[in-house]
Amino acid sequence: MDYPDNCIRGLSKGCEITVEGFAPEHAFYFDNVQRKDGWDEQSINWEDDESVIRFTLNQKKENGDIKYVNGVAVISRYNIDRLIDRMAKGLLRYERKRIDGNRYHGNILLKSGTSKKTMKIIAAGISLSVEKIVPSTST
Amino acid sequence: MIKTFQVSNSGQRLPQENRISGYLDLSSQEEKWISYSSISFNAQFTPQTNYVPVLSKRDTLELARNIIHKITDSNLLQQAVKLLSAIQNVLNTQPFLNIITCIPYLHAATPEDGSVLFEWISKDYRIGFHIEPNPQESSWSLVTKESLGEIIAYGSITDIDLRKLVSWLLYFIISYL
Repeated sequence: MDYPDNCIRGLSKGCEITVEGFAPEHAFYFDNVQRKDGWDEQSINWEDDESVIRFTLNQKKENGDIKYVNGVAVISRYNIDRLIDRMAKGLLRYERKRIDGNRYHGNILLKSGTSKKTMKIIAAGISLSVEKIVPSTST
Repeated sequence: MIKTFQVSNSGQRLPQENRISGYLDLSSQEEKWISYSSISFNAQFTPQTNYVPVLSKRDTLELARNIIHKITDSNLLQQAVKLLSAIQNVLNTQPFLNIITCIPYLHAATPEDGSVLFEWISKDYRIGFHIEPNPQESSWSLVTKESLGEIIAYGSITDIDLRKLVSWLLYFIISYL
């Protein structure tokens, strides 16, 4: 499958951007919700075109509130590939998974059962793969 | 014996009798005055530093301390305090004491997984301390970009000499200031 150079990770409440302009590591922790295929998800949008950042910033929760109040992080796929090669072969991959109302949607996937320690190192690696932060305009 | 005294921001020569062993307590740092409790001068200050280094309002542990006050779980709190004490102790020694204001903020957060996260962040590296409800799972990590050799290092922070670990990590930080 063809993937663009970057993916977008929304920064929800609790994932405040630091004073230096970095996203915190825990913005990239994986949900501990095991899928039937044995992978844990980290939701992303693929940067298929220029409108995806605005689209992601405008995503709303069921109650109508802005979902990513702290903005979005643009993650380099090249850096994710390096991370996989360096330390996460068989543990980390990504996918495109379109959902209703979001044709950009995909996931970074972590093998279920990966230790918490390893998950957090991988999250640190993903956070270091961020190319830029786009703050929310709603705050 | 613990002595407490104050020095001004402009620095003040310390009387010989105040050069006693102990640790540096910055918990009551204010804008213009720094409260020192029993500092180990003899071992850690070179002769020309009879003057106490000037510490500005900028304090690498400022943000981390703010989180400490919000931790309600005693187990997490105990681990976090132990870690921050180790960091503070190392920061009180040379060469870090002279450049304490150059060291990045130690960021802190309480993620939804019930842990406490402390992070030194740069554009080229991430150093994390992960305080977990199960102390055996508490860990540290250092991850760097390609420009710094794509280092991936990690380990436990339980049952180890935290001062040695923190010192090693701080030497890493100051080598890239």
